Amino acid sequence: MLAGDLEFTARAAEPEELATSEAGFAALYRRHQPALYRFALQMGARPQIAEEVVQEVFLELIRRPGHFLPSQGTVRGYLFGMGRNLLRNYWRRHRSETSWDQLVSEPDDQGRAALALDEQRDQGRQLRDLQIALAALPWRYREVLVICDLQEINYHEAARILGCRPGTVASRRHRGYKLLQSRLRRQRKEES
Amino acid sequence: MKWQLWRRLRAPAAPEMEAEIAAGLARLHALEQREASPELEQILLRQWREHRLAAAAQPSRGKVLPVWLRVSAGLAALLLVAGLWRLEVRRQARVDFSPARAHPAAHVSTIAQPHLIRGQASSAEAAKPALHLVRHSIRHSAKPSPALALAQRGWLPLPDSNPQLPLGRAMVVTVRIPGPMLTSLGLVSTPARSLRGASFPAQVLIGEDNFARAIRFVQTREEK
Repeated sequence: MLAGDLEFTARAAEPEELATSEAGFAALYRRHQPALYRFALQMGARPQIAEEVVQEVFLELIRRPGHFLPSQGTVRGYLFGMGRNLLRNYWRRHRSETSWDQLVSEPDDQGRAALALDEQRDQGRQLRDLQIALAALPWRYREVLVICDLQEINYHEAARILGCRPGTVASRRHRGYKLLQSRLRRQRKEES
Repeated sequence: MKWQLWRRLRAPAAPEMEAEIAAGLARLHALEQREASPELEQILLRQWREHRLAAAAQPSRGKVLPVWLRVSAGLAALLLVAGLWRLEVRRQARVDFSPARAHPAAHVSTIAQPHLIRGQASSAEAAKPALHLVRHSIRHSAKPSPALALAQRGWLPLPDSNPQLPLGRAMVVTVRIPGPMLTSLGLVSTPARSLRGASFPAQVLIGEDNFARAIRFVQTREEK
């Protein structure tokens, strides 16, 4: 109940922030930019492309703030929906030029350090395998896993972002899990 | 490719592996700390300022409606105006002829112009009072004349007819009366010029002496 109230307050305040002051827009950007950027990276975009996506999404919000309707969902869902569409368009344009698997982002210094730290605990390798398996998943399953598991967005909001029903999100997530299992099993067989 | 995908999806689920994947994804989520570069924020803030300045420089035009909404609103307004105009025209052109309530014998008279009567003769029973509303439109007639007010009571005694004469064996004939003739009979005050070309169905009561005595406007089958 408390979380819902907070979210409602934030939702109602955000368009005002955007319209009235520069500080408001900066606060909105800082609140949503990290999640959006990571979403783009986790969907397999390179850091430059992820930044372009973030820039394009916020520029669209600056140009047409009236397109966001609070009755249709949260600002986060609106931004993620735009980011997802931009990424998909990018992927369609570049599918013929290069394999999407080659576009899988390499972790930056911070990420590498974290992975190296985990490697010491004998977990980093498994996480790396999982990341590779996730990047090799078909688009529709990968986006559901990224949105629901990596961004921790609930089914209803994910359904709004993806433009489908919550049941579809759940079934795609289940299938994505099964595909991940299959890929991880195969990877382990190859290694052994 | 699809076959391989289907085969993998048909593979039996392993709950322990599912938990491992969920834990791995949660760990990936916790580890992911990357953010966009600070320059991007500066670029966007600059864009925001420019946009606000441009918006402030433009004259305020209020909320602009979408094109489809504007077009449909225009069409709706046009249809409304056309409908109102049509209703007004029809209202001006409509003249009501009420049903005859009294027996024709009460208003029987002679007619000085028997040449008006032509058409098919009907039975005497048709002279009974009609209960339906008789309506006919006379274009160009704006106001009903006193003669038309009389017509609302049913049979109209024709001018120059003598009500004192006995009716005897009456006969009713159905005719179409030319519009200008209504003016010449003194039934309407509309100028004959404006009624040119129009004709109105009517029943004429003819007395035993073969003179028309009264007239009643009726509704034809086509009009019904």
